[in-house]
Amino acid sequence: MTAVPSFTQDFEIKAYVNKSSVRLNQQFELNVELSGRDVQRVSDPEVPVLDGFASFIGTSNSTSMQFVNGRMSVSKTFTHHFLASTEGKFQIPAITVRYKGETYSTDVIDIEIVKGTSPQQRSSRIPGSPNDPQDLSEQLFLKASVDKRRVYKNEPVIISYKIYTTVNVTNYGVSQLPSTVGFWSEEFEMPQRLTSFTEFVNGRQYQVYEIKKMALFPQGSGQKTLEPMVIECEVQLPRRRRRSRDIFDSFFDDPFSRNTKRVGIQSNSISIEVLPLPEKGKPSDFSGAVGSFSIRSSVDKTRVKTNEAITLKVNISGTGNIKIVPQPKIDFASDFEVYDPKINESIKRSSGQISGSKLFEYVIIPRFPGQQSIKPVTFSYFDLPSKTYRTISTDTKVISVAKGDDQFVNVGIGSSKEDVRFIGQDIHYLQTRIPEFQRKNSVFYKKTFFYVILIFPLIILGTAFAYRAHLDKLSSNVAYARSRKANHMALSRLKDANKQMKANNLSGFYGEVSKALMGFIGDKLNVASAGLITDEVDKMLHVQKIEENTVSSYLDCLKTCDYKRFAPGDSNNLAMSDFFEKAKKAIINLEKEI
Amino acid sequence: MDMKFDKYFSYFMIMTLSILCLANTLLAKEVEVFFVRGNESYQAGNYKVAIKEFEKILNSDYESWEVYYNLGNAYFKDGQTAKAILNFERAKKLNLKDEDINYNLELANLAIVDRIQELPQFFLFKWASTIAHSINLKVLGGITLSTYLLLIFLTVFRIYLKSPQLQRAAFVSIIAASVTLTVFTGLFVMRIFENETKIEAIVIKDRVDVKSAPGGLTEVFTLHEGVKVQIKDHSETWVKIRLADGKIGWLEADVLETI
Repeated sequence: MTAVPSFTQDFEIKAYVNKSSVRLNQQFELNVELSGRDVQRVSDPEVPVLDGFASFIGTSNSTSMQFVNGRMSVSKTFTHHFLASTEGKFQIPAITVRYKGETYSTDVIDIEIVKGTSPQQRSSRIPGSPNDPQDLSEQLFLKASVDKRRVYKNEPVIISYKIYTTVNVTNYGVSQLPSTVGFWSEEFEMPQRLTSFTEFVNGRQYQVYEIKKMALFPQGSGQKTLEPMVIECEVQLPRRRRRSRDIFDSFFDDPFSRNTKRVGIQSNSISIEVLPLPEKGKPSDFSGAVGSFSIRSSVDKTRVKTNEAITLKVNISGTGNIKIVPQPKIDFASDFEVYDPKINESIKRSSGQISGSKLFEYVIIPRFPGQQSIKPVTFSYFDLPSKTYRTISTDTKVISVAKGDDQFVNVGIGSSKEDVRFIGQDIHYLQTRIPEFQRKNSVFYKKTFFYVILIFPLIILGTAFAYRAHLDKLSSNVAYARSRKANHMALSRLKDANKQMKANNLSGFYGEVSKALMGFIGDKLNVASAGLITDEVDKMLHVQKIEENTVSSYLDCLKTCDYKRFAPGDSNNLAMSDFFEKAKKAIINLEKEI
Repeated sequence: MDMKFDKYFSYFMIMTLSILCLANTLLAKEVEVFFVRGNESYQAGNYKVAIKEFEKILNSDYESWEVYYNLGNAYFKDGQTAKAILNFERAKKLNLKDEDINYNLELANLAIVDRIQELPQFFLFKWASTIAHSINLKVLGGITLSTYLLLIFLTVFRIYLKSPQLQRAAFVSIIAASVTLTVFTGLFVMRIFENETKIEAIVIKDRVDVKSAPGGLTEVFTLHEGVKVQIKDHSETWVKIRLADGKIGWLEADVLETI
């Protein structure tokens, strides 16, 4: 079971300033730190507008990535540089970022801008003691010098501060740093022990100490003035000869002893003309880098399996303001999963120029097998030696990606369907057996045979029920059974009569016909036929409301039978067969009506 | 006499069942050639040719789930995902439970950009639907008809039986058959009703804007190829569609193909 942490637990935004109390015209930093696993998905927070008390100078950012227990956490810090411009107590408003519909914001930060001591005020206090008979301005002064006075925006100006002295300076302290408003400054490291050299100024030999050296990158164009730097020096002046009031004192008074004095000195101010960069030929991806640079890229491996991480390193190095080199835009194929780079900056401040390199380390994960290429990374800058724009690029990196073991990769938590990709997964093969084809849109429930199958059994069921009912009636109702059997019986008796006729047995023939006639009536009306006489038959038939004609012909037959049976006379076959037909007809007629 | 009747009745039942089977096994020889050729072209990697061959079968007014399945495969290999989904869905309509169809359909569905969450259903309907859809319509019809015939047979049997023991056995069987018949008839009718009224279609154009009314200008949402929609209504060249998540809108009919 893996718990899925929510973003609220996982994501944090913090803001802080490097100092809560800032002197007027001094820089301060506002750091905005985003941390969490999904920081890459969060858009960059906006730079807060501090109108009225500070002006925005620039932003630098850094990213750090950590893998802990296989889980990645990233923190991204944006450092905004501001210049305090108004005195008073102010608030930096909350900075908000939106992620996945949620808004995260920082706390409001209080900042106080206090009145700074201006160099003029300070310098008025400082000049060597007015009561000092010796004027030291000739013997000790601070000089600021620059290597050039007309520069392009972001072209470094090297400024150095030197103490010129003819006296012995034992110590010094900076009481007012030069203000570098509108410049991005990088200070050169100075040796621990100052070395001096000699220089002649106005025919006088001076010991020269270089105490401060900076590279200044002008941020805006126009005329810029560098305010002076003020230092305080401890100088040893040779002691004037004087009479010792005390022997004991004079004993210690050695002729080489010096008089130590503290002197404040102020440098000259320098004005620099900053030229804007030419608009002509400015590449679209130019981001302000000025100097001379080179770009290199490398990958740690060129043969990988899918879902195996590769590290792509892009190194931009050269002289110039390396800090403002932006993250290069790399056109990764969509088959790659790319994480925000880890950025490493190294700056060398030596040999009179600022140089360095910025290393971008991208972790990329190929998702599809095959030959994948990373397109060249380009970087544009303004080349100072040739005063033209230049675009440099790396070479294309080709990576061959083999199919990895895991085929489906679900990217990230809370990923959308679009993130789910399948790799090397193939569809199942064709159906190869020849199928049973059927007519299109032939749904069986719309076919006749379906309804035949539905209805035919119902007919059978109905018939079965009717037949069952018939059978039941036969077994339970004698009258019904006799009536149903009457025809059958009559026919069999007539058959017997026919036999008698053929045998020329006159009385036998009429006897059988009579039996058939009487039996039929008996069966039909469910009475015993044995004792029936013709008159009774006549009555019974009238009760049944049978047509007169039918009754009379039936009774005629019966009477003829009786008569012929008991009074046998002339007989011939012809008369017998005539009568046979007549009797048969009578039965059939009666059968129809009864 | 009773014995004789039962015998004839059994003959009748066997006859009707064999007619049912025979009707299904009617073959059309000429389309088999297209099928074999389609498979050969597919094997050779000529997916476009394979598509043509399989389409020929359908144009001859014959079909079978295998044809739709193979056609879907050919479209998938040819990169026409929406058409592949359409044909896999058609195959599935004829054969619900085939693993190959379901697997390939699922795979093809992964390529769909839009993610549509199905609306929750009342659990009883969901169960009934799941059960009804776990059996092919033909099989469901067969079971329903067989149960029906069995019930008739048992009833007739019951009428003519003399032995009280057998009568009781027949009575219990009739009750069981009646319950089974009721359930299956319910599911069967549900499926037939669904077959006749639920018209589904697949979006075959890359990207379509769904409008609020036929010919309307207001765009409600956007769909991408391969999405399954239900057609609810139509007005001239426009159709009213409903997504699985309940969204409703109008589309021009030619961007859709019915399953």
